[in-house]
Order: sequence, then structure tokens, then C-alpha cells
Amino acid sequence: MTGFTLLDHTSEIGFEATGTTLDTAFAHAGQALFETMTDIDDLSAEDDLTFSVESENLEALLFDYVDELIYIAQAKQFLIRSFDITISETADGYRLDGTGYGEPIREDLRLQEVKAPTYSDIVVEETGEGWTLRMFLDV
Amino acid sequence: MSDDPVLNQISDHEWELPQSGEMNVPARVFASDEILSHIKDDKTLQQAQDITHFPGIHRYACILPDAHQGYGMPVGGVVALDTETGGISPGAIGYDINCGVRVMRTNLTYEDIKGKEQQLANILFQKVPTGLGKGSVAGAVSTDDIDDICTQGVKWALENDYAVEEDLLHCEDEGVRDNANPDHISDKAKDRARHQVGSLGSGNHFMEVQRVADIYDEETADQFGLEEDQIVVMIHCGSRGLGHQVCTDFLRSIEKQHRDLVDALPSKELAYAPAGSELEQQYYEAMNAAINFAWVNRQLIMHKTRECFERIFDRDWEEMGMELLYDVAHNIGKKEMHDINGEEREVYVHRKGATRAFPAGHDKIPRAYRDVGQPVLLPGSMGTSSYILKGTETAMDRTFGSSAHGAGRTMSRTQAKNDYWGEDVQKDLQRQQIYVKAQSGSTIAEEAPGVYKDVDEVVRVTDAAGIGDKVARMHPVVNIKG
Repeated sequence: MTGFTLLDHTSEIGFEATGTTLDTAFAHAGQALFETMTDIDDLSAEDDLTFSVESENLEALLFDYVDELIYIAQAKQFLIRSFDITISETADGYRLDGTGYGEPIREDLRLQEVKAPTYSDIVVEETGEGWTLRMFLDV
Repeated sequence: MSDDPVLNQISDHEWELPQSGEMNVPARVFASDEILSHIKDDKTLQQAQDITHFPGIHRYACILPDAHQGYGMPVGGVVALDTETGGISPGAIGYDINCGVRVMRTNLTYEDIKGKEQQLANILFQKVPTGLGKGSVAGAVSTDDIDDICTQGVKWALENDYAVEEDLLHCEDEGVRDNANPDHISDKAKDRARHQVGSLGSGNHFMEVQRVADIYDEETADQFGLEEDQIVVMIHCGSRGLGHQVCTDFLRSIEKQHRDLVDALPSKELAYAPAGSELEQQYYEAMNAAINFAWVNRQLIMHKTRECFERIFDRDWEEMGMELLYDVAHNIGKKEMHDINGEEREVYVHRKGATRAFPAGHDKIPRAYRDVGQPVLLPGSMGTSSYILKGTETAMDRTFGSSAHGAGRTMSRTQAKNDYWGEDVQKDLQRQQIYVKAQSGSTIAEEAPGVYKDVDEVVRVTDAAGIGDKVARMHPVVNIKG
């Protein structure tokens, strides 16, 4: 199991990511996002980059996390193949600390852009087997 | 809402979704039976009902013939919210602020470019940045440049030799929105934009060399400078990462500052900054800045296109008559005066996947077109026709001066990739003398002509409903995509 699948939407695209812990589910969600941009198997994981986001609840955390990753791809021109994610509770909600392993954008890669995360049919739920995250993206 | 909403037919191409429950007004759907069957296939009608929950919404929510399910609000939708009692909703304008279309005419004919299509496709694809991380016409620019672009719009392009004076005259709002303040745009948004000034992006954005196949209205076509067999260039893209980030940022700010209002809506995607709030003013000024950015983006792509044609045809672009016909947004929010039950009121007209379509005589359209009406630019998919229509009094009366914006998808990207193989689509199109070049075969499969609604039917209904009169039809010759 890869930990994520891409989902259908008439005009856009989405993903569902699962993990035995919230941290791994978010890590798989990050991979799903980059899979919508390119084939992540084509990426090396030689470089790394750290980031963090803070949000008031878990849905907002997923939204802000994906927003941050889109920023990393477009502004920092860095693509991520895999993630280490640690989520902790704060006084105001949640904090996510992440490390992304990947490489700067290469000329030879064929890349699709993602415009933004959306709240449309967003899911962050604990199941008997762990966590399931679902999100649709504006592409 | 029930699974099978009741629609009352008002006329041949107009239906009403009556007001019920928490709807503040009804919704109107402009469609034929065929189009209605597509609209009923997804969540468009449910979303049509949802958007009537906005406070201060006037008359009805409009669902245009190309409508399909979007996020929160359908793509192909128009709502007018009162500037005193309503507000402004980033999601009802769209993530890609001022996504829009421009058409540049030429004095070349199809005969002039026959045999050079592949060459043209190659050079345009090489010179016009597409996709992610493939650079931009302006190269990496400074944050100060971004601020200037956001404030000055196409005047920035003029000062930096990417435009001539006439380009401004033929752009919606002459290429610059006032009340544009880049101080309300985050550093994150500006960082995303630094590498993207003059770039197509991906998804459904494209540039297409087209030949004029049919003229339906000689007098208007003459005013627009169009004739049969003429070559024109259509450019479809928006405000890139800057606009997307502005929408995302304000969606979150509104959610945090006006949680009670957002919780009362059917979808968070419909979050709005209420009239009189600080966020209303800040979003309006940030959106105007993003609108300016998008116009500069399309201008720079047009500039690069002129250079490509100069290289292929070994002539100055001026000699080839490469003048901007018009540039119009189809994701935009604007303060406009409209007749609301006999009273002129200022409203925020939200056009999401909808083109402004002002009639002859309106002072907001270029002088050159004021006698006939505003050009409405309606792109099809890469293998099908695109159209130019003109704005009408009926549009002013029925749809807050708005018309359709394109064909509208009927199939998901994943389904498209299952049903089509990019190289087969490309070869099939080439047999029809349509040359396509894209970042990958999957892009071509995702955008295959079969995944879109029948654009001819969208235009037929738009024309028949009177919300845009047909002027010309163009057929694709060369198409490049991200």
C-alpha cells in the first residue's frame, strides 16, 4: 500500500491519504500532493528542507500544510519525494513540523501545477486503523 | 436539497430554481435540455442553491450555459452582492483571479501559415514558458517589480517595452484596475509570482493560433477587425501563483475573523468578507492588484508571441498587424451599478467562469467597439472551435452583464487519462491539421476535446438566450499547453 490514492473530480483532482498515525497520514498526503505535480518516483531524496505550520484545527492544518507545500514547489522550486512529519497540540490548536526529502526542480521533469488547496469535501478522520485524510485541489 | 430539484421553465433557454428554505433569492439557469442534462450530472444545481445563501444577494444567482460543479460556487456562475448589505467572496471569484482570455488579430491568412504550423508550434512552445518551473518571459523579478506590476497593470508592461499604447486601449479597464494595493498581498504570494511574470501555467490554460472559420455578424466583425480565413492568436491564463495565494490567504483570514458567518454558510469555500469590514476592503484591493498582475502576464505572453511570429515570418509584428483585439477576465469581482427592481444600486458582481458582456453604448468598453458592444471571448477545447460574441442589453438585464466563458468540462482528468492516450489524441488532431504541443502526453489526454461540453451548443444557447450574440467562430491551427 502506497499510503495515498488520487481521486476524481469533474474539473479538478483530489487525494485520499491514510496512515496508522496522524503523522504518517500527513506524510502520505504530502506525497500525494507532489504526485499530482509529477511522478515522485522520478525524484531523488538527496536534499532536505524543513518547514512548520500552525492552525486552529486539524482540517485547517491539512489546508495550511498543503498550502505551504505548494509554496515550496513554486517559490522555492523544490520538489519532495518523502516526508517526516511531527504534529503536536498547542494552546491554540495544532503545530506541524516537517522535513521534506527531495530535490530542486530539474529542467527535464514534466510538471503540472497545483493552484491551491480547497475545503471542498475535506476529511480528517480517525478510523479503527488510523487516520484518513481527503482533499480536493484546484489545478 | 432533494436529489431531483424542481426547475420551472421560464422561456426556451431559461429555468428557475425557486427560492426555498434558507435561499435568499431563486437561481436562474440558462440552458437547453441537452446542457441541462450535463448540469444535472454533477453538483452544479446544489451549488446554485448554496450561493443564494449570501446576504445582500440581488435578484437571483445566474447559472450560465457552460456551468459545471466548482468549489463552493459553480464555474459558470454569477452573483451580485450589495456593497452595503452583502460583501465580497474570494471563492465566488475563484482561486485564479482574472483568469481570462485575450485575442490578438493578425493580417495573415491561413494560406500564409500553411506548412509552417509545426515550426510555429515548436517556437511558441520553446519561447512561451508553460507548466511549473519553466521560467517566465520577464525572468526572475524583484518584489518591488511585483508591487509595481500589481499597482500599474499593463502600464508597467508599456514602461518596460513589453507593450504599446494601443494594447492598453483594447484591454478591459485599459489594463489597469484602480484601488489596487499590493500591501495587502502576502510575501508568500509575491514569492510565488517572482518566477512567473509571463508564463502560461498548466491545467486548461493554453495559447492557440486560430483561423477565422465563420463570420455571423459582418458589421460587428468589421468593427472587431475580423474576416474569414484570417489568423488570430488566443491566450488563456490568469494571475498564476500570486492570485491563487491571494484567494487562499483571504479565505483563511475570513475563516479566522468571521467564523460565525462562515459556519452559517453551506460551504467554507463560500466564505465572504462582510460589507464594511476591514477584510472587505483589503481583499478588494488585493484582488484588484492580482487582476493587474494577470493582465501583465497575458501581455508578456502576447509580446513573446509577436517575437516568435517575427522570427518565423521574418517581418515586424506591426507589419503583420498583430494588434490586441480585446482582453477580458472571466474570474473577477467588480463594483458595478445595476438596475435592481427599478433602482440603480452598487453591487459586487462576482463572475466565476463568466465573461463580462456589456452592450453597445456602455462607457466601460473601448471606444472602437462602443457602437457594436463589448467583445466576449469564448475559448473551446484544443480540438474544437472558439468563438467571439458581443455583449447585449439582454445580458445587462438578465445576467448582470455576463455571458459564458468556455465549454466546461464533463469528465474528470483521471477518467480522461483512462479514456484517451495523449499521443493518439495528438496524431488524430494533426490529421485534422491541428498541431498540439504540450509538456506531456497526459496533459493532452486530460484536455482531449471529448472531455468538454459541446462548445457549439454552449454558444448556440448563449446566443439564443440573448446573453451574447455570435460574431465569429475560429478553428484551431496550433495549440500549446502547460
